Amino acid sequence: MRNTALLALLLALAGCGPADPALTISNATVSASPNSAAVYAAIHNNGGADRLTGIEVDGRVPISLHETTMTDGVMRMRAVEALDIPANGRLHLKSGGAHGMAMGQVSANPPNLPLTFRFARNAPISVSATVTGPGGMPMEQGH
Amino acid sequence: MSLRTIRIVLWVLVAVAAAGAAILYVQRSSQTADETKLTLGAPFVLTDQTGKGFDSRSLEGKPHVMFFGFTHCPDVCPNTLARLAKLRKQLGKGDDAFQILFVSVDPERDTPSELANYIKLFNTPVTALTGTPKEIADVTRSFGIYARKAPTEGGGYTMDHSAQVLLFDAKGGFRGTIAFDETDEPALQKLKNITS
Repeated sequence: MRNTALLALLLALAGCGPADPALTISNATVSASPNSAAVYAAIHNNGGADRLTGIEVDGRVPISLHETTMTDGVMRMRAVEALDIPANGRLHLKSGGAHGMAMGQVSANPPNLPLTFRFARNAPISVSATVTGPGGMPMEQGH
Repeated sequence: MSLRTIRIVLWVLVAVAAAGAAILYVQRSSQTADETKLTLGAPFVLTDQTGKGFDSRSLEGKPHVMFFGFTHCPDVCPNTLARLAKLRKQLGKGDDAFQILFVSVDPERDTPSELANYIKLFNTPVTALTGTPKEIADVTRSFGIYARKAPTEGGGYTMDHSAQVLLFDAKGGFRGTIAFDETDEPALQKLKNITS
C-alpha cells in the first residue's frame, strides 16, 4: 500500500513536467466488452527512443500493457512491463498485437474516456479516447 | 416404315440411353463427393446462454461457424465476433445465413448469464455455449482446439487458445477456417461458400 502511495506521488510529480513535443498520440480508442476492455492507439515519435510504461484511465485506474502473439493459430496474451517506442518511429497499439488491457467493465458514459499515457523518458500525455464496442462497433444504448 | 427410318429411331434410342447413363454417372460422382466430405468434431451437448441444453444435432441442415474464446478476452475474441457479425450483414442473406457459435474455453468464469451479458454487445444472434470443465475439455479436444490457462500477476489468469473460426456447411461438412489475421475479402468468400 505504501508503495502504491509513493508511486502515485511520483506519477503526480512526473505529470508536472512540460509535455515533450517528440511524442504525439492519435486514434486512441477503448474497445469495451462487459468483462474487459482493450486500448488501441498510435504513438508517433519524432525524437529519441522511449518506452511506454503505462496507461491510466482518468489518471487513476491502471491499464496493463499486453502483447498478443499468434503462433500456429493459437492466441497468447502476456503482460509486459513496457513497450518500446523506436526513435523517429511509431508504436502501434492494435488488435492482435501490443495493446492496453483493463479488466472489469469500463463505463461508456460519457462516450469519451480520458487516458493518460506514461513513458520512461518523456512527460505523460493525456488524450480523450473514443469508447466503442468490439471491432469499433458503436456502443449499444443502455451500456 | 423404311429401313432408314428404323435406323434413325435406333440411333435416337442409343443417344437417349447414353445421355441417361451420363446423368446417372454424374449423380453417382456427386454422391461420392458428398460421402467424402470432411468432418471435424464429435456430437456434443453443452449449455447455452439461457441455461438450456444445446445439442449439436440441432445444427443439422444449418451452415454454422464455431469460435472458441472467453468473455474476459479483451482483444481477439470480441474483435472476431464483431467481424463475424459484420460479415454476416455484408453477406446480405439475413441472420439465418449461418449460425454463429461462441464456445467458452473458460467454463469456470463463463456462466450462462456471463455469456448472455457478453453477446448482447454484438447486436446479432449468437449462440454462446459453456459447460462443465470436462464437457468443454471434451469439445475442444474433439474440434482440435488448443486451450490452456495462463496465470497473470495478482492471481488471475488469461487463456491461451486457438483463435481460428471453424466453418461448417449445411450438411455438417467442415469447410476450413478463417484466421484472425486474414482480411475481410477472403473471409467473406469462405462464408459465401458455406451458405451456398
